[in-house]
Amino acid sequence: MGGDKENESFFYDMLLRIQKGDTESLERLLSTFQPAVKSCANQALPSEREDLEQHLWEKLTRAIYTYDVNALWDHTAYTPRTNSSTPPRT
Amino acid sequence: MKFVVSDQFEHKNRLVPAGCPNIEAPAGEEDGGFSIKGHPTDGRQRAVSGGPQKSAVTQSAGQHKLVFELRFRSYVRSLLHYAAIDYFRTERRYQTRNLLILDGPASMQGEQDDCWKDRLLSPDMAIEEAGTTYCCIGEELVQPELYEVFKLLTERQRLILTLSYGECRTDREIGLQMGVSQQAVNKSKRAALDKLKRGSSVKGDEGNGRR
Repeated sequence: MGGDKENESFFYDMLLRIQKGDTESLERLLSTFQPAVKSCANQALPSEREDLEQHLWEKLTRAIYTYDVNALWDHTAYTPRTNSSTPPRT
Repeated sequence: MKFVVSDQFEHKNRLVPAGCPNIEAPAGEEDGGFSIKGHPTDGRQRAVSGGPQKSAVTQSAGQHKLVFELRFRSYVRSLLHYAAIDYFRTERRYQTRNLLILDGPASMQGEQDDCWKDRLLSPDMAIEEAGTTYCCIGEELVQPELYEVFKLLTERQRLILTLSYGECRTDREIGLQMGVSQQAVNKSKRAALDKLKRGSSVKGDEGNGRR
């Protein structure tokens, strides 16, 4: 499983492996979202910051495990954006 | 990288007006197109840079994964956003429902003389008394090496460490009780910490300072 180095960086493959029980990939995937979680947690007061961060990590982990990797995309993926001036961010 | 990705995104929009992205892939061996097992999909680099030897199928798979990544990222971003909002709402509700009223009875039995405020550690509690109730912070040190070094500190340094880390008192409070200035307390606290750090690292363990 872990041999395909090329596929390791893709979220798609990571998610597949995580949902089969690969906790190492889970850690790596979570660590890529660390800045996002941190900046989200910074909205809170300093006294609540850790609680919020914990809450976010839990939500994120749950979401990763339940994310439907092979779900079909809705049509919005194939239509140009009309109501936003900014290009899709990565 | 960002722009290339979005370029491909746009390109994709024109190529495939509707339906599943792997509609491009010929049915058969590549059916599903993106299964992980035994399928030599292109890595991110080749998918982005567009090498000439790349087949349409692998390109499609690479694009699929890139777009998947974009979608997943935006999903996570909105997830975090709404989870934070959710957290704030729950927290506010909890706080309005469970106010800590210091005059209120602390026990459910209705003994009126037992108030929350009596249970607080009052700041003017005599420092000797507090020091004896919490005895010494050295008793709670987990690492034996650290405890050895802790025993080498002076009585005064041990007391200061206990008060400041065991009871979370400020330097000013300690100084007031001991009759010295806040600066003096801070100075001997730092000296004590230094001693702990040096002593425990000399003995060869990790020596991560205080507990």
